[in-house]
Amino acid sequence: MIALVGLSELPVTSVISAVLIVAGCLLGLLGGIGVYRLPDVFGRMHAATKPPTLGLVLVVVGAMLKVNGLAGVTLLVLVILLQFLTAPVGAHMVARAAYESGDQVDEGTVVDELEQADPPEMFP
Amino acid sequence: MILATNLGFILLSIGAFFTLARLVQGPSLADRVVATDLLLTLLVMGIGVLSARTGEDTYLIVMVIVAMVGFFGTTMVARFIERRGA
Amino acid sequence: MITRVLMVAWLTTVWILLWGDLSPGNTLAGLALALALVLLFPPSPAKHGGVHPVAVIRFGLWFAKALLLSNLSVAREIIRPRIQVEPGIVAVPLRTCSPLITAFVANAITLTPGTLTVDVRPQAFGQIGTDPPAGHLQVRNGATVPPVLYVHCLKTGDPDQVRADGLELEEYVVRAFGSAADRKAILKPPPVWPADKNQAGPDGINT
Repeated sequence: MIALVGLSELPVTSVISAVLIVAGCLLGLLGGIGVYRLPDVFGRMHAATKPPTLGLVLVVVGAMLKVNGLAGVTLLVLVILLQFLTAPVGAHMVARAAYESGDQVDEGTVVDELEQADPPEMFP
Repeated sequence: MILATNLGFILLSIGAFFTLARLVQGPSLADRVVATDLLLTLLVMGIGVLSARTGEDTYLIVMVIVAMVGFFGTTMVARFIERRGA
Repeated sequence: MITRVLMVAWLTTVWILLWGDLSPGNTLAGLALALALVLLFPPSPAKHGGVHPVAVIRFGLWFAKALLLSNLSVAREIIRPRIQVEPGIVAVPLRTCSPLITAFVANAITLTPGTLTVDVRPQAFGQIGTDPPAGHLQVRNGATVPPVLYVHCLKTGDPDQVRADGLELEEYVVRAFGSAADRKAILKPPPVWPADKNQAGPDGINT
């Protein structure tokens, strides 16, 4: 998009894009470290979906400034949309599956779900 | 710009290394599927950094496909865990 | 009918974004494919509410700010040499019954760091109604009872604060996307938790 206007080679664009890319990759690194360090499944899910999603948005915006052609920009917009729509749904499904199959919460302070009745059967 | 993308690749590689450690070590299947999803997200970020470095847009369609594959895979394994346990 | 039109518009937009080509040929091809898909697999009619643009912008800005600030706090948590997380699952009873709003609130809660939606269940009151209208709702005393979200937090702190944050998020979402019934429902006072089994009000809602 910026390339279409002819501004893709300005030093300002390169600097902004570089800053965004490094910030995004830092968030990705934090996601990786968090998945390694946090003590239980749910914490790792927090670390694996939130900082990398924001990091992906930053990297994609940085790439949008430097890529030639309209196809590049529209594909990157599509990637951001897809990530925002699918990452929380995936995390929620794995969290529910992990809870139902018995992964206990590590020293959970408030666990409110043990004394509820079973939900109606949603799977055949 | 070249320096920034080099730095970006190094950071992503270190993150992927930690994720791989969790993939090998995770005591349950849910840990492993979370690590796999994160690896795919890091791959998508890597393709973005590469596109910013060279300015070409030939690999961006791979980003879309990897993001979709990551989502479908995570969902399918989640349903499997819910039915079969562990 | 309008659901089909919206679905055709959305599919055509995705096609154009994928190809990156705004020429008439490409747009017509996308439109034809979208029409064929919608005619072959018609979507079930969704009960969507009114969209207020100003409220959508306010929600978007608030959400972006929450995303940035909470990502920083989770990042600080991850880097700390000795991890001090206090995980916990908190029940957040909602006030609206519409499945669209519930899905939106659950997704928004999962996207803001520090909270993760684990499950959505109907309010049990000790027994399940005989004929639930949907998987996550329950009818009691003739009225539909809103569902309860179970939210896992990294640093729990005060559970009532978590519930208040969840209800504030629900209010933002309903003001942006809710139907008229939803907008009426969020004017009620926040529900108390844990639900007292014998104390449901005359309309079945736990207040």
